[in-house]
Amino acid sequence: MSNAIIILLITLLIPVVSAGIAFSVKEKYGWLIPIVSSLLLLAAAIAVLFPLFGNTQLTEQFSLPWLSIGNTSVSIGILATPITRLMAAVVLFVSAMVHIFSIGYMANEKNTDRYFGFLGLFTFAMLGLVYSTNLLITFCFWELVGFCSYRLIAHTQQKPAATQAATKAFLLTKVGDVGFLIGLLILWTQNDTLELAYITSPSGVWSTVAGLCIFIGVVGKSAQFPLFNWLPDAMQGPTPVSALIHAATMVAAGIFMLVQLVPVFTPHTLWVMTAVGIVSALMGAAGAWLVTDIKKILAYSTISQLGFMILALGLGETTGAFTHLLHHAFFKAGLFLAAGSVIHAMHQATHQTEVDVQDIRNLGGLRKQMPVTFIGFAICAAALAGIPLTSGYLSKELILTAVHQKNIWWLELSVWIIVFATPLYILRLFWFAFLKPATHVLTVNEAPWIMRLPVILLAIGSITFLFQQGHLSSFATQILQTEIAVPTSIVIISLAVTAASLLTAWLSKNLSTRSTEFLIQNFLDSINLYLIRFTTFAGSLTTTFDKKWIDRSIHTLAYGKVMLAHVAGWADRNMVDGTVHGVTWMARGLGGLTRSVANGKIQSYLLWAMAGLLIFIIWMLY
Amino acid sequence: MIVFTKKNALLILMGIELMLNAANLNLVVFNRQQTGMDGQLFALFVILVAVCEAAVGIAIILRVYHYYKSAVPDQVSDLKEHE
Repeated sequence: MSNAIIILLITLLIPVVSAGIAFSVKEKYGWLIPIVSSLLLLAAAIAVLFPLFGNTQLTEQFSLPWLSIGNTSVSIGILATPITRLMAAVVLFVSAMVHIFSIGYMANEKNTDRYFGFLGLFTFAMLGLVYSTNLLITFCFWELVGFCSYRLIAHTQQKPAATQAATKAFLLTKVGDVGFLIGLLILWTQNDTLELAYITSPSGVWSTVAGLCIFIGVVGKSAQFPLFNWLPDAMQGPTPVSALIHAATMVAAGIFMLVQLVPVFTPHTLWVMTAVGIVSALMGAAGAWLVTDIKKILAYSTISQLGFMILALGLGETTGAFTHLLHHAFFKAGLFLAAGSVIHAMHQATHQTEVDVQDIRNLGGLRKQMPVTFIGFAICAAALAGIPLTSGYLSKELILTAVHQKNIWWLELSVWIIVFATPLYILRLFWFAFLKPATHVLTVNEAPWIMRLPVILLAIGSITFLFQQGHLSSFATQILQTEIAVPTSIVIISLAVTAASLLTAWLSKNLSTRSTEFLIQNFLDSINLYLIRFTTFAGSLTTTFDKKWIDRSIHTLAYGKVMLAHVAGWADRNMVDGTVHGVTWMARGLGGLTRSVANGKIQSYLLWAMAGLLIFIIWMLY
Repeated sequence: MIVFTKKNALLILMGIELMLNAANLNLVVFNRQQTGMDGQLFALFVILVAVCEAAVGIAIILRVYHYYKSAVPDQVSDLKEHE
């Protein structure tokens, strides 16, 4: 066990310690929990990255046998590669930021012990998934991640909508998990092992089937078409939780799995992934442009960005996708935390009045009132839009280059549309929330420092020129050692498209929001409706199949069993029991016979004695 | 026959006495057909034993009657398993 492995093991245990502290500390000292937890997590994030400065390409694996079934054994261990360590560092850093932010955000809430406990567990589950060397262990943590997100989305138990959203998220991701499990089993049967290091592509048609099944799991987890509906609904949870789900833990798990497994996928699977990625990215962008809830805009934007990553993975561009995942973690967490600050501040300002503070039409003019949050949000939004000098720009260029190399016109067209659509919706949100003259006369105070700090740190993480060394290389790409020459034409076109998009957004910023309501009802809801219709239809088909064949065969089987049981019972009663009864009956009869002689009457004794004597005499004489 | 058929213990005892007397008669009669006095002496002994036996028997019957208020052996069934 080398030093790096020990460090990773410690960082894996830190969130558990944090959760343990949260669950065990008394309510009186509740304020201590998040401070201790966030400091620990921050230390862990640095500790994970630290060995990277010395040896960036360190790749190690440490595993212990855990259980064996037949010839195959499952080991539990820690995988240390540049990818896992970068991912772990980001997870820990974002988690620490969320913890710090939650100190301010959850200050007046109840049940903070449960909240911080599950935050810690959530982080632990994600780290376990990242470090895992075996796909079975990965699956266990995968499920744990789903469970923790379920508990955190439903944290506000007074809101029925939150509980419903949590259930929806849990069930929809479960649909995907079934696919994931089937994919794992296929891989197991084909490979005889689930060790990440030894997994190879299974032969023949199974390879495509296994890849697709695993991809279904990712679709559920990362909220891709057609299982994306749970993510906007999950906005019912506390905002810091949304930041964690969107940036580092829940939806990132799917992309991370794909980054590790894409090498074993077949071209067919990759094409399906590309198609799903494009559809999700476009639908997410459209959704983000149409809704008016500040958190839902960000949620749809996440769907869009994840679709963008899946698209890149489908083209085999793992580095671009992974880099984008890391950058996305920073700026999306920053956006969510800034949005949380806005919601928090607006709540404080509006007090108990019936104003929906999450509706961007009710916001406005926050630039003056919340300058720090404004700047943080602006930087993160620029990163999302892919404006130069931000992290989003770098990873976007990587993916665009990969698309360009494929040289397929419809692929390029759809990607340009995605690139065009992203600044459109984020600028709209930005305009409504911060720049537009205020429609209200409230005095909004800036969020407390404890909430401003994480936003600032995450915004700094989204600026790349601080880390940039040379053309188009960020910290992450340095560690991953990728040298991709981006054609100048791509840079020019992408800049032009982004500029055009920003211009369009600025010109159409005051577009009546009433039309968007109309579009929501006619576009998104109808898509959902068709999805629901389709699933109900498929459900009814499977139900009929169930009733007709499965139920019937089960009934027949059950009847057969009952019949057999009756026959066996009859045999038992009449044959086995009969023998025993016969023996006892014989014994009793014999006993009665012998006992009847000794009936306690002197005269009969005498009679028998006499008879005996007579028989004896007769026998002696003759 | 009396010993087997009568219910009352006194009558059973009587039957036994009768059997002993019959045996005595046999002894005396068969003694006549051979020399010596063995048979008659033996008959005397039998009478003696019969007297003792009768005395003891009647005493037992009396005690039984006192205890059970009955002299019928069939009703004296303490040791028998009641069904």
